Amino acid sequence: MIQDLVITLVYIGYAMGMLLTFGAILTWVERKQAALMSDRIGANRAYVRLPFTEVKIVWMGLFHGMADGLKLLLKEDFRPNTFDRFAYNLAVWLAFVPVLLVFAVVPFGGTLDPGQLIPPLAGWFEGRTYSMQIAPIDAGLLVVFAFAGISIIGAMLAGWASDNKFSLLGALRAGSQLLSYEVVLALTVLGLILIYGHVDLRAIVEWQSGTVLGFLPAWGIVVQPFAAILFLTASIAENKRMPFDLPDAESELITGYITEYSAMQQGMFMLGEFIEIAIIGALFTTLFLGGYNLPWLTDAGFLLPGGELIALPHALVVVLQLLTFLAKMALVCSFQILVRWSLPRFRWDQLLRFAWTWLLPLALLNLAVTALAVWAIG
Amino acid sequence: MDKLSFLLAASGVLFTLGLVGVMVRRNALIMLMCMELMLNAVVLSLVAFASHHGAPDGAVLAFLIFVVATAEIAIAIPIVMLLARQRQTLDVQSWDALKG
Amino acid sequence: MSLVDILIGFFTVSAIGGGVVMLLARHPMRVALALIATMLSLAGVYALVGLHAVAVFQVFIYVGAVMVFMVYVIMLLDIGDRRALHRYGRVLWPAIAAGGVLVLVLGHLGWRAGASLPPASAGNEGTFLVQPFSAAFLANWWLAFELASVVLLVAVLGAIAVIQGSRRHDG
Repeated sequence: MIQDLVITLVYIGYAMGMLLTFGAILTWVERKQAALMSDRIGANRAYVRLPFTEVKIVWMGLFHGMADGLKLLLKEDFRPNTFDRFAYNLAVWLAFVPVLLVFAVVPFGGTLDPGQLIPPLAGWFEGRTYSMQIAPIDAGLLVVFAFAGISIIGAMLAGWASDNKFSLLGALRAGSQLLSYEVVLALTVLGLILIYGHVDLRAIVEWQSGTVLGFLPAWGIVVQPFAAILFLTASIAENKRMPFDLPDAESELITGYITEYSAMQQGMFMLGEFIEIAIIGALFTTLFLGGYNLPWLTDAGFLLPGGELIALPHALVVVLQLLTFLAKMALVCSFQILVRWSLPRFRWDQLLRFAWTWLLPLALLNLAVTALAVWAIG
Repeated sequence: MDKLSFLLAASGVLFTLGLVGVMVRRNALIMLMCMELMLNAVVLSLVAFASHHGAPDGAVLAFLIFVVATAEIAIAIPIVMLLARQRQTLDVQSWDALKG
Repeated sequence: MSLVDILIGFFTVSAIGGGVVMLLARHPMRVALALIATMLSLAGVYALVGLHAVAVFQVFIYVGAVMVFMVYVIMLLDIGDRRALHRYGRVLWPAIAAGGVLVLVLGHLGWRAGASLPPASAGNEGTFLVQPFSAAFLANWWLAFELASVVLLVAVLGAIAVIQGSRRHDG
């Protein structure tokens, strides 16, 4: 029992560290990638001066993230004279915590055998193996949607409790947009569940370790390419990023439902948005890009098609799987930043019409075609 | 005291709280929310029985109750909105024309 | 008294506490937040008892759809009139008395019913995983499933009819 607790605590530490680091680094990636795309240099003025010298370390602008964080921590925490202080403070947490909680069911690695990894502790662990998931729930995909629903309430509560007409407008826009795109998200994933036959994220990733037609990896994006595009679109809309960022549109509503929040409370909203970029990357990787799978990599080593096995130590397999997952996640995050800096913003009625008259019928069509294909083939 | 007795007693308490809420509160939306509390109490007792017997029928009924509650809320709230628009208030005691 | 039992007790008490706050709070948004707290605590109870599929659907459907709609409407209908802030109607004390009697009756019945049933059969933890639950659902209850979708369709049509009818009436 206590061994399970220790392993779970290690996983939680890894997840929190990784997600918060991703959230911070993504601010830098956003600035630099935008600069690359528009042929500029980007923000590079923040520096750290080595003490007792005149040497200024710029380090390609990475210190801007630190400067942002310090600024938000040290600013004056101005609060409006709202009549519902409890809802005003609660909304920050309701919008931030579910984003982190979603990662609890995502498998970020294969099977961990602590006895093989740290031989002195093999006796204590008694040969138990653990799958690298914080919570191995067999309704994993449903848990993801459940927690996404809670963050909708956080955003709406934030705008309402701010005692500001602009924030209320932002909250109403956020509520209707998030609810519409969550419906689309759920329908998109149905075709995927039909093919995988599971809602368990671990089983989904293991299904994707085979091959299709003999040479293509059996990733979700190969068996359901249309659903992949729909899922990515709907999840960028769930994240309220460009081109769907009307709830906190800078040129229209100041910052929408975040307007009356200052200092670190605003920082929590923004950090939550950036961490959700990473979470969308993790979910897309798990559902469509094969999770932590490398072609031909099993728990024992590389099993090449000829039948040859290149045995690898367990630690190396674990590290390879972790790095593969992180690399795929980073790829999807970079793609989201690419989309943000390429497309203009939707108008509000265009946004809702896009969800209900375009994405929803397309998701249903995808489901119908998938059902026919599964019935015809399988 | 075993789990089933405790959960059934809790379900009874929650149901009573919801019922008293519907009778006592004046705001129409709060009355709707107390009705949701009553439905949740019923689902709790269904789940308690299902886990006790190990039969999935209770879980299936709970799922169907979720569906019916969603449909009920979807119609009840537009009706409340229309009523509020008529009298410019959410107070249900403003609809007392039939009172003697 | 294992950890699971303590947690079930904690979440049940938290659900009842949320219910009490629902009766006492003044503003509808506070009541909505209390109801969300109650629903989340009940989802915790369902998960601890073993029915985690039902727990996930409780959060997904009840909190993620029904309560979002309710919070949305409370934000829209922010009619700042003074009369709505009077909490209780005319039947306050009779209702409290009746509620007291009812809680005693129901609580006692629930307790006795729980004690009189045969004890729980062990080894049925596998029946509530997602796949056996779905198989049982679609094998025995498929008619109810189809009728539930008809109910939802009727609800959507009814909501549209109510709103359209009011628009035509307004002119």
